[in-house]
Amino acid sequence: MNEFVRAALIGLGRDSASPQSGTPVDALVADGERERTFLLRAAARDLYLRAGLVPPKFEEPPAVAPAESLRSCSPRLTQLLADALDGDAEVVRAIGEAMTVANLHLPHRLLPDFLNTRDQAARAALAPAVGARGQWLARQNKVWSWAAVIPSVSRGIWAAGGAMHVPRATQPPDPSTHARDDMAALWEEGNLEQRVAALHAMRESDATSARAKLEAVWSKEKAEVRATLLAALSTSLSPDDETFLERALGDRSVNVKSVAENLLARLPQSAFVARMIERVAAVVQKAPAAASMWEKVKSGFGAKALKLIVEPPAAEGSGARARALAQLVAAVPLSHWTSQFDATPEQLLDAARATDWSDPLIEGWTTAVERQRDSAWAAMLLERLAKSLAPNQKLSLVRALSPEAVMQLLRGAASHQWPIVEMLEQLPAPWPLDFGADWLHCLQRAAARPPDALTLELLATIDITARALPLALHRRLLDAVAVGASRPTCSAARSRRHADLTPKYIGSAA
Amino acid sequence: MSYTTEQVIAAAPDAQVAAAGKKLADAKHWLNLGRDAEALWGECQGSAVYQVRVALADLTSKCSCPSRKFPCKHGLGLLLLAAQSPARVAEGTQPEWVASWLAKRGETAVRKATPAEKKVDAAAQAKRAATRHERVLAGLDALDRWMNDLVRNGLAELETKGPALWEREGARLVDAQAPALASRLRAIANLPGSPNWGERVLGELGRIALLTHAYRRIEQLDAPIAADVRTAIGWTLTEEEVRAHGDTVADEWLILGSAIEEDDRVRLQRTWLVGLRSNRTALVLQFAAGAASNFAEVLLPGTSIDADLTFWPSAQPQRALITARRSNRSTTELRAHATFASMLDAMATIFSAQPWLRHAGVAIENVVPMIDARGEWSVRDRDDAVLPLAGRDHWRLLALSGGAPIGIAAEWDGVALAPLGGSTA
Repeated sequence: MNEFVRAALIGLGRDSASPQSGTPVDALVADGERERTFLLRAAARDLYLRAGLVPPKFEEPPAVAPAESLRSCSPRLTQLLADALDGDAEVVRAIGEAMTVANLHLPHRLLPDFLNTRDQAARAALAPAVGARGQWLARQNKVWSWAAVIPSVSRGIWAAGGAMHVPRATQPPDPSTHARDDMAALWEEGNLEQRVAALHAMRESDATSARAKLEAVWSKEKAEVRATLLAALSTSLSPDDETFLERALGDRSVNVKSVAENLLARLPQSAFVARMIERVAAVVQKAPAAASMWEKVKSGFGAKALKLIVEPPAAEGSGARARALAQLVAAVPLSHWTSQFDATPEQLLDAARATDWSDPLIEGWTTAVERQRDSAWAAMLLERLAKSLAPNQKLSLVRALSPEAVMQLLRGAASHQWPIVEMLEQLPAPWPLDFGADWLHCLQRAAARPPDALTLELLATIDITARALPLALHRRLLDAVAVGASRPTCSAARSRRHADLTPKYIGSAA
Repeated sequence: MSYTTEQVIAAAPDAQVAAAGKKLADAKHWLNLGRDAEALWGECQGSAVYQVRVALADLTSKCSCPSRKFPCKHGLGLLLLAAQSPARVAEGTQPEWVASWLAKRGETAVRKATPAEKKVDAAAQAKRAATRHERVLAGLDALDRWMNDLVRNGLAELETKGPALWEREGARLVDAQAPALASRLRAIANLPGSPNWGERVLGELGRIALLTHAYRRIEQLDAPIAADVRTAIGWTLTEEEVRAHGDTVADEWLILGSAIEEDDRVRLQRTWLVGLRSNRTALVLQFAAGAASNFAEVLLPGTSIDADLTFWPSAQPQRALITARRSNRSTTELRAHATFASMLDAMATIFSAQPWLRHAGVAIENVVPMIDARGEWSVRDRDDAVLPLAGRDHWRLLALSGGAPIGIAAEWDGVALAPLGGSTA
């Protein structure tokens, strides 16, 4: 190490002379106070080094990836693949299989995303499609070692025959220990995104030790990193995490606090939830003892009582109190409301809507529904409030719906006030035969009517319908569409997830 | 159309809006579509009919829907539709609701450019500035004592101390009304522990010492470098002041790339531009509060804008304000250095003119990214010269290159290149 830098690291101590950098810049700074002179010389030396930087030469020839033997994707297909990256492992696996059959390799730009796939089945399907470039990359990154080996299966048969069943590549040896080492390395050395992925994976295999790893670095991370990493505890969340989450609740950063709150609210037995219930319970006690259930509910939600339980807002300004109320309500188990007030969710909603606090109460309940995955509450709120909920609230509710509830709602009366597309996308494909038939019927009726907003919304679901409809009903889908003003787009056929993804489809896109 | 689908998607505020926008990029959702040299417009049939208009000069959109996201899915959908199937959007005459919006935008732009004379109490302002100057000086005295203590006791112990040390000292500087210096100091917290950190921390501390030295004798400095010293301390200029004092350059500006920094509340975007005629480099800083809000100016890498840029006064003018924006087009032109030697020559000039600059945007062609056995990234040019890459994840760059030369846009901070993007030939 350079003497000048060494002096800085050790400290100038009681030495009398200020160290020299050994360059002409020393002369620029006249001797003054010892430490000050040293710092100013350091500044001049730093600029001198930056301005005079000569990069080292690296003579060894660069490692070049071999040329691809497979076909490249068209820009349009590349775009479709980029979109599909948000999809689940099922979609990624289907992509791998279809690309292999079509003799295509994944676009180079998207390789890192596909190589980060963690699902074993999806990895096996992708391995032949990563191409020469993918294998070359995988040899340089140990986390991607699963793709580095050329699969032992001959691909010729499959390429020629248009076969439906695509061979699985050989599994990497002993995936469990392999994966654990990889994840630990990724956690230590990765970027934030990789560390989050590693933390999720470690939580899956050993939740306690994964949390300990996070605790170990907790005080050294910046606020936004702490918030992002903490959110990963949602994987395998259990009461064991409570102590640590309570600590995070006292964090200085607002973001960290709100992540901790969100997680604690998912632990019904936590002290945090108990505190929230206690504050809510205070409301009920304020109600007249002999009052009927209705009066109890109304006075329970009355403005005066609420003021007592909602803490003075941290930030001043209108709406702060309402936000605090919404947060409180979001943290309380939904079952608490029905049992405490001895009322059905419908009655509670009616009572809430009769007060000035309707909006924050509904907002809080919506969040609680999403956290607690309460399908019955979700269906009730969607049905009753289709006109007034904000789009993001509707999405929160839809996520809590069970597939049965989604089908039930859509069968009853599809309303354009609902996020129909998201609801359909939530159903596992292929759909049950009876629902598929009902839904087609609904589309058929829509296509026959003069177009209005709902018709357009319904016709926009033809893509999804084509992807998820049981194969037995496809004939009828074509009939339904032929009647209507709209035709199924090519992309619907192209993005089909199922077994009949033949080379022809992909080929026409390429 | 003068933009691509990818570029439009890049401008979406989040993935949800991007996906919704893609769904709307189909003529079946639209009525009364049209365009002319200035704008695109159409009515989108959703749960209500929304009037959507896009100004082609800067791709800003305006929609009658209540969405708070910007651009909303309707604006995005219209841009995508026009990019994918231009034939569906025929030439036409602007309806009244488009013309009136464009006219109003024009007025706002003019009003911004010629602000109403505000009554300024010059005496009170000068007094406030003098008070602040005194507070800054007191803060710098305390900082200098602290830095002297640091080098007397040695920097080695910094490796085991956390970021709290720097946070505390930064907070003191914020109290002393020197916010820019505070954030410069806080940024050092990330260095200890990284390769060669002693050298880098010492360099940073040295440059801060140089800054406190310069601020104390600011009256003796030339006006441009004095402006830099004030900026580095944290004195700011309003946009009006920049318009009044900065020099304005009209040019075709190629957009090299953008870097985004996020903290608890604010996102900061640095976009680097190069003037195709003037060859000047410009930096446009944009701030957005919260995750939902978007940056006001849409600047897509790989396009160029015909615009007036007004530069902040400086010995090495870099930061600029877009004062007039006329049109946007896709371009394949590049202003790239052929070798690192040429790039470093240019950098030496820049950093010696303004020692407190943190980074400079550059483009270099024919370089090969590499990763070594220890996971350190670097990039080599056609003369086999090697420079380090900042950060630990450049796999996309490596995937794109496959060991073959590519062009990259990057920020150079004097030590390493932080890539903003890459392109194959």
